[in-house]
This record gives sequence, structure tokens and C-alpha cells, in this order.
Amino acid sequence: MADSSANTQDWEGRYHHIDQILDTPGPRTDEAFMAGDGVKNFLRNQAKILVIGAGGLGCEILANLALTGFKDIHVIDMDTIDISNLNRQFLFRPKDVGQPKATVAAEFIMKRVPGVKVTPYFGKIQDKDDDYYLQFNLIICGLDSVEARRWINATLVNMVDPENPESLKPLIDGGTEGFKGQARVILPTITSCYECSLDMLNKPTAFPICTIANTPRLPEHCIEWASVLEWPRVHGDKKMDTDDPEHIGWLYNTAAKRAKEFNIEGVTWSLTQGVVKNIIPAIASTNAIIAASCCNEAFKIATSSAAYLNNYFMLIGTEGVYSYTFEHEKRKDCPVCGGEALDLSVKPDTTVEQLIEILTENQIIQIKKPSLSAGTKHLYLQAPPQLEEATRPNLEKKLSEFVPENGEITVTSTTLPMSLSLRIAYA
Amino acid sequence: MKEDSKDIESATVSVSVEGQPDNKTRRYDRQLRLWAASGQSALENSRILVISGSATSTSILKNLVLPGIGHFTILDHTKVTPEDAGNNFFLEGPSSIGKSRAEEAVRLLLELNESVDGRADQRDIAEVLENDPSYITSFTLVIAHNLHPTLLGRLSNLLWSDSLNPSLIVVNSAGFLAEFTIQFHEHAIIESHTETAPSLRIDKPFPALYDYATNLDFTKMDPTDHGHVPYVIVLVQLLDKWKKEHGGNPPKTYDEKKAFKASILAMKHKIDEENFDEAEAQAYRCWSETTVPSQIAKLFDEPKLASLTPDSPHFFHLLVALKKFAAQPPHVLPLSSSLPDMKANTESYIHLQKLYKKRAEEEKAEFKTLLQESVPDELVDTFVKNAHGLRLLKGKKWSDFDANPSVLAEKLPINPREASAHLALAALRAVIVKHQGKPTTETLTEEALALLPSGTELSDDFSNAVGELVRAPTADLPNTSAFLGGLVAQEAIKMITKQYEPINGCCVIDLIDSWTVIGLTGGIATGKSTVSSLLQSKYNIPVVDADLLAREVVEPGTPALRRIVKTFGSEVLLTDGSGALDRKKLGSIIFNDEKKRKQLNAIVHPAVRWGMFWGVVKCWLRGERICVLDVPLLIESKLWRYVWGVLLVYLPQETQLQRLMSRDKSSEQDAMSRINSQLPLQQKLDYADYVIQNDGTLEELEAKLSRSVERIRRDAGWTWPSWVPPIGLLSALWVLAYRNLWFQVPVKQPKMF
Repeated sequence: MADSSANTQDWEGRYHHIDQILDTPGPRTDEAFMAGDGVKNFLRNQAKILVIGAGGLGCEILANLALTGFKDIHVIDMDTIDISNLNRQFLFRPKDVGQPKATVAAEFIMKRVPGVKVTPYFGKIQDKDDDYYLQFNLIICGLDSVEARRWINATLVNMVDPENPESLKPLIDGGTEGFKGQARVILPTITSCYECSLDMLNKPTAFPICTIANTPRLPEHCIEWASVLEWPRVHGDKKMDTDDPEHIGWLYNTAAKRAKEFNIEGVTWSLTQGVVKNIIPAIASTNAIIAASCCNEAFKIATSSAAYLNNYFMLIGTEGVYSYTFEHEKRKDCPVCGGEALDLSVKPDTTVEQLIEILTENQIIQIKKPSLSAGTKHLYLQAPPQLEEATRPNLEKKLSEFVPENGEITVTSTTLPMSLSLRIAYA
Repeated sequence: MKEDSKDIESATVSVSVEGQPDNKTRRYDRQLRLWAASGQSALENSRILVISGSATSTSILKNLVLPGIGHFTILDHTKVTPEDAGNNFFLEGPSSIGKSRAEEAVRLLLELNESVDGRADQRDIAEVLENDPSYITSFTLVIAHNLHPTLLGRLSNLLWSDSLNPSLIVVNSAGFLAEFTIQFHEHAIIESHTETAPSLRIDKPFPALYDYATNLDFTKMDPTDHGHVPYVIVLVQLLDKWKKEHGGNPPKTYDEKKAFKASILAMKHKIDEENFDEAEAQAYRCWSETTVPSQIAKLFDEPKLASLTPDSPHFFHLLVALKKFAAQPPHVLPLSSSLPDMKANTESYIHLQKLYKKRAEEEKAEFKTLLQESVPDELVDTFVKNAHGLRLLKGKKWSDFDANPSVLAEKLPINPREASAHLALAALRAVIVKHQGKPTTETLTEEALALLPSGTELSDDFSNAVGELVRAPTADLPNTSAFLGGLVAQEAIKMITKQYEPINGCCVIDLIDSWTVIGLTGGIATGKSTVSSLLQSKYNIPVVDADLLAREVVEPGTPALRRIVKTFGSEVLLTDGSGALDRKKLGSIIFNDEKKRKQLNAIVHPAVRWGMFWGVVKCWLRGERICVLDVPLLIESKLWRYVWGVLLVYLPQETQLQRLMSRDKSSEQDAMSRINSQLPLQQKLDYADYVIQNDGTLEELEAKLSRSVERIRRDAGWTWPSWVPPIGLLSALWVLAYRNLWFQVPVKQPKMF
């Protein structure tokens, strides 16, 4: 054993497999690689890594990291365990249903892999500040939410201080859907970031409200009618809980009744649940592939034992195994890491309110509740309430009253730590 | 996903008629949305044998136990070593050391799912192969990880000896490199979950659809209804009208297609009638004839169909019936009952849906009368519903993959990375057989060369692969094993459920550069040169090759090259003093810069056009009947206007990228932008008269090409000699436009999930 100090749990031969890599450079290994004790000591005694999400990907990531030799692992997850997790989240058992994922996963790993410390946090990533994120060498995300990814991405990009190289935290992000998945490496401010590739997201299926209300064709339209229109009408302010079987049951029955009325077939319990919870099919095998890819990159970055992914790996397993590895390019006008203003062309009579709608729907912007200002003038602010009220009359005014041709607008969001500069052209 | 979620419900409805599903359905909900109850039931009836309890083996099993296979056995006679205890999640650290590896792994795997049955078998595989082979063949599927090559050969022989024996997945890995192969005789898939949608038969409407659509009077409609007529109806009516005015023909030429589209938009009363926009976008359905998809038509040639017995698998009896069905006019597959969503009001959409459903039922009944053996109704339903996505994979014996040294040698220059990695792993196995001790670069290279015809040269890619194997010859890395665990389990699930499409061949994995590639099976058509040489050699059709011309016109000393150097600077010349153009360099400059690309085109295109003109004149003078212009960017360069017809040969994007990259050794990014710089598929379809999708083997390409040439010869007739050059000459050509039809990139939308 090279480093005896902290590793009382390490038995002779424990790292036989990994050490074949760490003791010798390969043909494609960077010159900076410190084969032997140097790199082993860093990996096993110094590296501190954060895993965001303890779900399908998170469980796999934690197990891989622990076996690879990372010994100081932190994990954040705000969810509790549901029975539908058990087909893939292999650190959980039926008895754990209802318990916090982060805590149960951490305990399992520590029990199974001796000498590894996993520190769980049962809560939101937004609860933590820069100081918290600054303590890690690397961050791996196994999330199912676009919003959370955008938040951590923007936070890590903003955290980069050019004076302090330690402030740059590599972010490795994975995601899966059915037999498909992707893994990517983001070096904040250096490579393309999550926000740079926002236009690659599938457009969420949004049904026009008039279709739902008047001319439904699909079972989905009936379910949307039940959840978006009927629930608030019947239940008032009572919040809908998509995990409550009684609520789903009510939605199912209401949707089924409407479907019958319109001769539409196919409203089922499963579809109802799928639509209202926006369920994405998920299986253990795909999660295993993507989590392994993420951890493999984490290992290569932490040890320099081999070149790491530059920067996007995509896998489609429905027809054979098709993978595609490419460099996603940085966008100069990316609102998070780009620095240059984004050009937006609007009609001359566009109102402030219409601009907000455009920003919400635009594939590369997708800001849910934007606040707008031009120089020192506030066009519209979402919060605080007093300022919202004060700026509300501007919504109906024409944009051209505030912003000249080629003038810039700053867009900020309450949910994302970023600010986007827009250069407006009237056409 | 919509389609899938419907499937699962209709299939699991027996589990929960009303209200909340039971615990099992809830537990498996996220996977039932993929493979439905039928797939689940196949998993639950499967029995899987895994040879060795290595980290990779247990990773594979974990991903099979979780979704609920019926039974698994780990066959492993070894005891847990300290090394095993360090890298296998399904061992309990030091406390497992010295115990049976099979027993420990089975115990911990079983904790994952109480409905799975598992067994540890501590016999030696060598002994079982010798004394108890029927035990091995009693499983559904056998998976072997890093099994000693001699034993692997015997296992492969045993399982291959009878086509009813289980399939075998062979997995090999060392360090960052790995590969796996599935050995099977034949694998029939009904539910391939293909992303290709079945035809709506707009060009061949069934009577009820035709009557409904043609009797609809748009002039008497109220304004709201007018904007809600489904596009299917709009197109059927307009196409009928068009055909009546054009001697029964659909829009054929580009101008006709344009005129047809204009007539759709002319029907709009108000700007916001989106149903007409949708109709315009879907107009190509009017001129792409509904036929039996070539992939399905190929299945009809299956020799087995001629000699079926009542005991033959249902799949083949169903296939015979399908063949008979398609032999009748209008020569199509049975109609699919599912109608995609489209702009419409409730009434018109539901009405249309009912028309399709009723017709689909009728055609299914017709299909059933053609069935000669009784097949369960449920299976007939599934078969008819998925007829457009049927697959029949023909596999190979594991040891046959590398049996032909020259095939392997041919792959090396075409797919250098994966062929080299595969070769290196094969060499590693050979070294192990010979007990040569720790492999070295020399021993591995020697073994690799022994697998190849003498004189084959190995590239840097081979050194890269071999270097990694020398570095970590016995490493079963946690991340590699987890990655393989996922991939192999995915394939196992596809094999067991007979849903989705498993790999047919060998999948090579490199986790340094992070890629997986399938290949090394049959002769993959190399594309352009293949098509061109086939046309010349097999059909004696002269080819004027624009790519070749494009090279000739910029050779040292040509006026075009002088202008290129003037525009882009002398750095676009090779540094070897030849004065020749550095095409790769120029390529990377122009493909990322639209302005520069235009500048280059302005120099090269006129020169190429002149060269082509002379090429054609020469053919004409020789009295050729047909001549082919092989033009990479036919549509973009507007040359299509001067030709008699356009034949498009295109590759699905992924195949194309792979080929482009391996041919030019360019980076993915370069390749992607090169594809992006060309017109997207949908736009180009409008220009095409004949289409060939070059996604299969060389044999498939040849078959498709032969059919097209036959049709073109028929259609083209003897018009050519009557034309007078120069203008008429160009109009009397048909053109092979290779490579100019790409899918919109990326064809499979990369998603972030």
C-alpha cells in the first residue's frame, strides 16, 4: 500500500484493477499524468466529488465512484423513494419507500464499499451557496429536470474567477430516456455549457388551450382538460398532488368521461399518470451505460490517466447500438457563458408583453418568468410585488417606446442565476 | 411514447381493470412503457446463464434482475480473491474473500428483486461442457465474460450446433477497451418499435376515404370547419383533382410539385388556417408512392417460406400471408389503424379515425383468410399492426467473425479505430491461449499480424489499442464493467423480448475516446465508389464523375487552382512542394464559413460544369443511350434543371457520418458541419424521381440499384438520340446524385433528457 495514513480499510489487492491504469501511462495519456502514488493519493485521499441526484443515474454513479476509489463523496437529492423507482434504483428496497433517496443511498454505499464516506443532503440544490460548491473538485449531475440543470450550470459558470483556477469546477452531466441517453463534460466558461445547447432539447408537447377546451382529438387532450381546466374549477385552490392515487383517480375518471362524450378512445390510468406527471420511460441498463460514462470521465479528469470526453456522447439503443461522440460548440451569444448580445428581430409594433411571450417560447432562450430592463429603465419586473405593479402598465406598451433599433435589453430570471443581453432589431 | 403508453395499457388492463394498478405494475411502470406486458412476460419466462461472477458479469445481471427476468444462474467455480472484492459491487468487501464467488454474487443480486430466482453453480465450465452440455442448452440465453478462448470456442460450437439452442453473448474487455458479439442463427422481430411511420395511403386511398374526401365541398363549409379539415382529406381531394387534369399522374417534376403545393395554400381563406400549412408540409406523401417497404419486400425472398410445415414458427406463416396480401393490388401492406394527430376539430378527426380503423379491420380480416396455419388472434393483431417494421436478422457463429483474414484486412483502412481495437482484443485472446505470460506490444502485434493476410500494414490506431491492452491486460475496471453491464443487458432484453433491434455483429467500445461502433460483419457498402463502379461494370452505363472532375480541374497548373490560391492564400497548398491543393485544409476552411464556401464554388463549379458538358458530349458521340452524371451537390448547384431525372442514393445520417469520418479521418465536428452545409432531406425529396436508401449491405444496395436501373431504362425509353446537342443533350440525361440527400441533421434528434 502506497499511502498508509488514511486507508486502514484498504486491503492488499483492493485496487488491483484500477492500479493497472494508475501505475502506467497509455499511448493516449497526457504528459501531466503522475503515474503511481501521486495520482492514487489524490484520488483516494484528496478528491472531493459532488453527485447531484440520487435517482436512476445517481445510484449508479455513487456505486461506480466508490468502486473507482473516490472516498469523499457528497450527494444531494430532494426526493423520497417511490415504488416505481425500484425497477432501476438498485440501492433501494421496498422497505425504503418513502425515505429520502440521498440518505438511503449514502448509507447503502458506505455499508457495501468499506472506507468510503458519502455525505447526503436531503434538499434542493438551490439551498446551497457558492462556498458549498467551491469545496468540490468535480460535480456529476444525474438529474431529470431541465430547470435544475440550468441552475447548476449557470451557478458554476458564474462561480469561475479568472484569478483563481480552483474556482473552475468541471461539470459532468448525464441523462436518459428509454433506450437512449447522453453524457457530456462541461468545463464552465471553457467549453460549451448546458445553456449553449438548449435548442437541442425536445420541444415540450404543449396543447393549445382552445383544443383542450373545445376540439379535443386525443386522449391526452381529455387528460389535460381534466388536470388544467377541471381540477381548479372543481377543487378551487386545493393543490393537485400527482403522487396521490386519489387525485390521479379523479383525473382519470374525469378525463374518461369527457373522452366518452367526444367518442375518443384510449384514456387509461397509465396514460393519465404519464401525461400529468410527464413520465419518461426509464430502465436500469440505459442508466448504467450513461452513469458509467459520466464516472469514467470523472475518473479520467481526476487522474489525467487518459484523455477525457470532448465533449458530448450520445447513445441510441433502439436499433442496434448507435453512439455518436462530438464536440458541441460554445455559443458566443449564450446567455450564460457567451458574453455577446443575442440578436433578436421583432415586428415594430411588438408590445412588451408579446416580447415576454417570445422569450418564453424561443428554443434558445426559454426563460419562464423574465424581467426586462433597458439601461436604467425597467420595462417589466416579476418581483418584488411593488415593482411588478409599477411596471405592469408597460406590458401593453410598444417595445419601441423604450428601446431604439439595435438597442439592448437585459433579461433576468427569478429562477436562474443569469442575465441575457438582447440586441433588438425591428423588422 | 404515445404509442407505447397505449400498448402497455391495453396489455396490462387485465391486471387492473379499473382504478389504480397493482404493486407489480407500479414497480415496473417505467419499463412497461417501453416493452409492455408482452415484453415483461417474455422476461419473466427467461432463464439466463452467466459464465463467471466477474464485475462485468454481475453488472450485466444487475440490469436483468432489476427489470425482472425469471431465473439466472452464475456458473463459477472460483473463490473470491482480494482483487475481486475490490472491484465488484456484488461482493461484500473483505468479508466475501475466500467464499464462493458465485454464491456471494447470487446472494447479493437476489436482494434486488424478490420475484427473481437465482442459483449459484460452482462447477467448472470445462467440466460442464464435457459432461453436462444439455444443462447449458436448457437456458434461454447464455452470456460469457472473458472466458478462456479455448472454452469459448467449445461453448460457441455447442450452442451453434442446433438452431434451437440458446443465443450466446460473448463479452471481452480489458481496461478501457471492450467488445461483445451476439451469436444467433436467426432472430425475428415483430415489434421493432421503428421510428418510421406506416403509410397513410394518401396516394392510394381506400374507397371509403376516397369517397369521403372527394365528396367534401369546401365552398359550402362554415369558416370554422374550413380551417379544421384534416390534411389527409385536403391532400386526397387535391391529388384526385390533379390526377384528373394530368392524365392520371401525380405531380412529378419540381415545377409540378411547386404548383401542387401552391394549390394547397390557395385554398386558405384565412392566414391562420393551419390545416393547410400542415397539408403543404405533408404534400410529399402525394408523390412518394406507397409500396411495400424494401426492407419488408426483401423478407418475402426468404427461402424458408417455400418449405414451411405446420410446426414452423408463426412468424413465417404470417410472413407468407403478408406476401400474398402484398401480391394483390394495390400492392401495399395492410393498413395501420393508427392515425397521427393533425389539425382538425373533434368531429372530423374522429370520423377520419373511424374510417381508418374500419378499413384496417377489413384488411386484417382479408389478411387472416390468407393465413394457412392457425395463429393466435393476438399475435395476428400485433403482426399486422407492426408489419411495416418487421425484421429478420441472420446471425453468425462467433468463431466465424474473424475467419476470413482478407475481410478483416479490408476493414482496417475503412474503419481504422474499431477494426484496430477489435484486432487488438483478438490478439490478446490468442496470447492468452498460448500462455505467453503478460502480453507485450511485440507479442500482441505478432498475433494480430497472424490474423491478417501477410503484408497487411497496421496503423497508429492499432498502436493506440495495443498500448492500452499492454497497460491493463487483466483490468476489469468498475466503469468499463458498468458500461458493458448496461449495453449487454440492453441487448439481452432485446433478444429475450424480441422487441427493438439488437446488434447483428460485433460492438467495439473504446472508453478513452468514448465511442461504440458496430461493424465487422458483412460487406458494408462503401457508397459512392460502389454505386459508380456498379453502374459502369454491371450495367455498362458511362459515368461522368463530378467529384473526379472537381479534382482534375484544380490540379497543379490549372486556372482554377491559380484562382483558389489567389483567394485563399498559399496556405491551402500542400507543404510537400508538389504545388497540389491541400483538400483537407481547404475543406475545413470552407465548411465552417458560408461566405468562403460561396467563393470557392464560384471558382470550381463553372470549371466542373464545363468538364461535365464535354463528358456528356463524348458519350453522345459514342452513341450511348444513357449516361450518368455523378454529382455530389446536384440540387444545390441547380444542375438538376438540366437533367432528365434524379436518382438519389442516400445514407441514414449515422451511417453517413461513420463513413465520412473513417474515409477522410476528419473529426466529428467537421463531418457534422459538412452535412449541415447541405440541404435537408425533406427539401430534397421534392426533386427526386428515384430514391435508394443505402443503409444496408453491399448485396442489398446492389438489389435496390438493379430495380431502379430497370425502372429508369423503362421510363427513359429511347429519347436520347433524337435530341440535338448542346441544350437537348443535357436535358436527355438522368443523373445519379450521390451523397446529395442527407437527413436533416441530426436525424435522430439528440435529446437532453
